[in-house]
Amino acid sequence: MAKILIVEDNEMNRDMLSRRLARRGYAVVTAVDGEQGLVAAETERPDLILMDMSLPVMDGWEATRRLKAESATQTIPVIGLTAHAMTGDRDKAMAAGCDDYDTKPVELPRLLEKIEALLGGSGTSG
Amino acid sequence: MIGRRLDKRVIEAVAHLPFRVQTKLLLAFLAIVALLVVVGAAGLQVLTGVNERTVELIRSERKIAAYRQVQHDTTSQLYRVTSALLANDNRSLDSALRQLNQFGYDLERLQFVAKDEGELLGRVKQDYDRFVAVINKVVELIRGGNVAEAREAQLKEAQPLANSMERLTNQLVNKAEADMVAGIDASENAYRTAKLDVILFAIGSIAFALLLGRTISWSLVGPINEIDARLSRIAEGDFTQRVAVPNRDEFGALAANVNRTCEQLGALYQQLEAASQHKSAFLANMSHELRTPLNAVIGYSEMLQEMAEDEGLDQFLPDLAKIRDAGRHLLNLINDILDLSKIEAGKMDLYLEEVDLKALVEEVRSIVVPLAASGGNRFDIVCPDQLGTLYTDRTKLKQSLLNLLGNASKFTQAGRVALELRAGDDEVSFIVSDTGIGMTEEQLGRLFQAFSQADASTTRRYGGTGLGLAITKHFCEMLGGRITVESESGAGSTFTITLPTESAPAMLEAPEPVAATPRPAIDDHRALVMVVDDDPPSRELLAAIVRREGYRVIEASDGEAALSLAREHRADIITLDVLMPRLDGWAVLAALKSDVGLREIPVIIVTVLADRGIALSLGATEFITKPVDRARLAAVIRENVRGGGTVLVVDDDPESRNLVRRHLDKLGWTIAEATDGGDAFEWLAGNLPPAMILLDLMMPGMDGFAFLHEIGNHPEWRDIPVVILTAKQLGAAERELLAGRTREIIEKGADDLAGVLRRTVVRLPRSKSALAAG
Ligand SMILES: Nc1ncnc2c1ncn2[C@@H]1O[C@H](COP(=O)(O)OP(=O)(O)O)[C@@H](O)[C@H]1O
Repeated sequence: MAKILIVEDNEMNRDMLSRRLARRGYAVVTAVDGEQGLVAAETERPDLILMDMSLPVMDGWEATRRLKAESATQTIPVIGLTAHAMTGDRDKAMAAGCDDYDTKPVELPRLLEKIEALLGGSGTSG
Repeated sequence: MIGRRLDKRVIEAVAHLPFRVQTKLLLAFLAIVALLVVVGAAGLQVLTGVNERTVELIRSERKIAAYRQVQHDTTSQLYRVTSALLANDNRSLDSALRQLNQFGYDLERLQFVAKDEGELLGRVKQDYDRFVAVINKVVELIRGGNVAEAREAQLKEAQPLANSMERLTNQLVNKAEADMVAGIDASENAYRTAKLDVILFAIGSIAFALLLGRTISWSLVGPINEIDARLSRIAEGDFTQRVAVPNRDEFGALAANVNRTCEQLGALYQQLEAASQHKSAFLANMSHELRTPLNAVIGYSEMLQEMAEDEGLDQFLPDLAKIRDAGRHLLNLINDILDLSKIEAGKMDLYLEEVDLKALVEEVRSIVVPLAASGGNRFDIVCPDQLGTLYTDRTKLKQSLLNLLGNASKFTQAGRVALELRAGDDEVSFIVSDTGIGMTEEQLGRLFQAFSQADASTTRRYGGTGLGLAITKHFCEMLGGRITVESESGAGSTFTITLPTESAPAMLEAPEPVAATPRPAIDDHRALVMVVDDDPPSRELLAAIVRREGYRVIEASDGEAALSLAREHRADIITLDVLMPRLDGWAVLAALKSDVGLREIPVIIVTVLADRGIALSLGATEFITKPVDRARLAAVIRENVRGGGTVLVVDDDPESRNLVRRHLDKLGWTIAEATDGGDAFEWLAGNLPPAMILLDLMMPGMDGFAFLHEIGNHPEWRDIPVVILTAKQLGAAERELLAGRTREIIEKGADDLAGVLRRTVVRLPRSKSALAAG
């Protein structure tokens, strides 16, 4: 079973996403800010990370940059999430090293497609 | 040059006369009438003169005629008398004598008429009298039969007299003729002079009348032009200048009114502009706040839907779907509003990249096919095989196309929706057509305005926000292109977006080059103030004030430059204008405050607006209105230049070092400690110079005085500000000694040590160690 790390500061979003992904059979772990996200990525070794970009303490861009700079976590695919697509967030997210990008509120089928595409590619899905 | 200035003076003087326009016109008119009268009188006088001379000439004419008569008579008399004498009969002699007498009377009469020639006439008369006497004598002789003697007398006496008379009358005629010629000449001369006088006078009068008219009309037209020019400036949105007219008449009143109106409009305009800025800032914030709970509404309703499906609770599904759809709709609305407000505030950024058109079309197809299908429509894509790339903003182009195709699908039932691409030399056209309900002329007219739907019932039937096309149009324009529409009610619509193959949109102009500000040398520890203002004079003024206070200055002429310079130079404090083109002050402030690296920099809003509340709530440190009060600006900067450098505390007493450390820590300063002068020099040798040295005087080893003396010998440290912190009661001599070398003397045990320290250190420039660390 693939393990997904959700890094999201808003409690409701976190709860909602994790429950909906859990219902699809993913193992879900969560973190509430960028720093915790980094720690969780180290310790939990998730197969994929859903990273909100505007996070307290350390924002998603910085956290992603660090994940991608660290050899241990470099290979974990990251999907960046931001509120609204028009502001060029997508470019910033991709520039920070995200493997894919989506907007909130998530359209689950679309997000699942992206998740599956990345997991299939990484070969670690279970 | 001088003439023109004089001219202007005169016109102004006339304008300045405190009479009504009517009165001025009346006065000018009267003046001109008076001139006409004078010219007329002058003419009349000349005419009278001419007439007098003519009468004179006529008289001379007559005189000449009379003289000629005399001359003629003389000759004929002489002839007659001679022949009568020759004939020698009594009858002819009598008649000759009668004639002679008659001539005498005539001469007599002439003498009264021609007084001028009196002397000549007198002589003629004398000769005549003698002639008559001689002739009488001759006649006597003849009658006495003494013919030979009579001949003798006639030849010897009468003939010379006759000759003399003839000569005299000739002279008379000549003189009169000469007089007449002279008279004609004189009259001609007089006429010429008079004519010249009249002409000159008339010309003078006309010139004066013209000048008067010109002056009056310019004193009236001038202010009209001035006011007209001002009004067109106002129409263009410039409310800064005033109409200055010297008039104290109706136009003066009009100008004053225009000025007042302009002022009020200007104030109103500023308020509106500010309000619109606030609206944008507010909307940007609000939509973020709104989206977060909306996320939850949509997400949870979707989740509930899934759960209900799984557990077979189908009766809940329709309601859950309604919640979700309403949520999505609301979200679209918010996103559109946010986009629009960003566009309107000039905060919408562009991300230009090479866009592969084939791939873009495919993406669009995958999204539009289901949309079109839901209305029973066919979706066709027509595009050439060879499609290149477009250098543009991919997301915005895609959203624009989706807006158009979404509308086309929405407003078409069981018809055809098509996307056609046409590549030109340096443009690409995207043509979105449908066979749907179309639009009327009137609907087309307000199509691209925000919140305009073709009619109110549209919302009810088709949903939508009425923002899509407004946003699409803005996007196209930002990308350097355009959008056009053709539509027929009931037959369908065709929207065409045309984009240049290479977008070089106006929104992305390179920031104006900033006044040459060399990168500050690293060892300049004065604090760095960034002055942001788009208006060069006010920017220079601010910079000058700041520089005079001893700070370093960098200048930025617009918001974008401000952000990049702030990052590059790490300004210690920023003064920020609000009303700037493109990125305004509020946007810059927001960007500064949301950037982790920059948010600590104090920002002073310097503006003509009166929005202190907004400024402070957006995170500004202080708020100063223009025109800037120099002292206040200096004070505000002084108070807000942050610490953050290093302070070297030289004191042997650990307690006082601690106390100082606690106070300065809070202000963000790093503390280095030394226990005496020697120790301090050791520290200085191994570290970057501190922003300040806080020096105790009484220490073992090298004391404060010795330290001060010694540091004077080190050029590299000599300029570090030194503040004395001492418990010693200083004598006048000691104070004198210290005064030249130290910045401030603080007494230990001062009531408000924290306050004194703060006031002292905030005045300090940022140190190079801080720069190096930052
Ligand atoms: N293809 C079309 N056919 C008919 N009417 C259209 C079409 N496109 C736009 N309109 C009219 O223009 C209005 C504004 O459109 P738009 O700005 O996209 O807002 P909305 O979000 O309401 O669709 C629509 O409500 C509709 O009345």
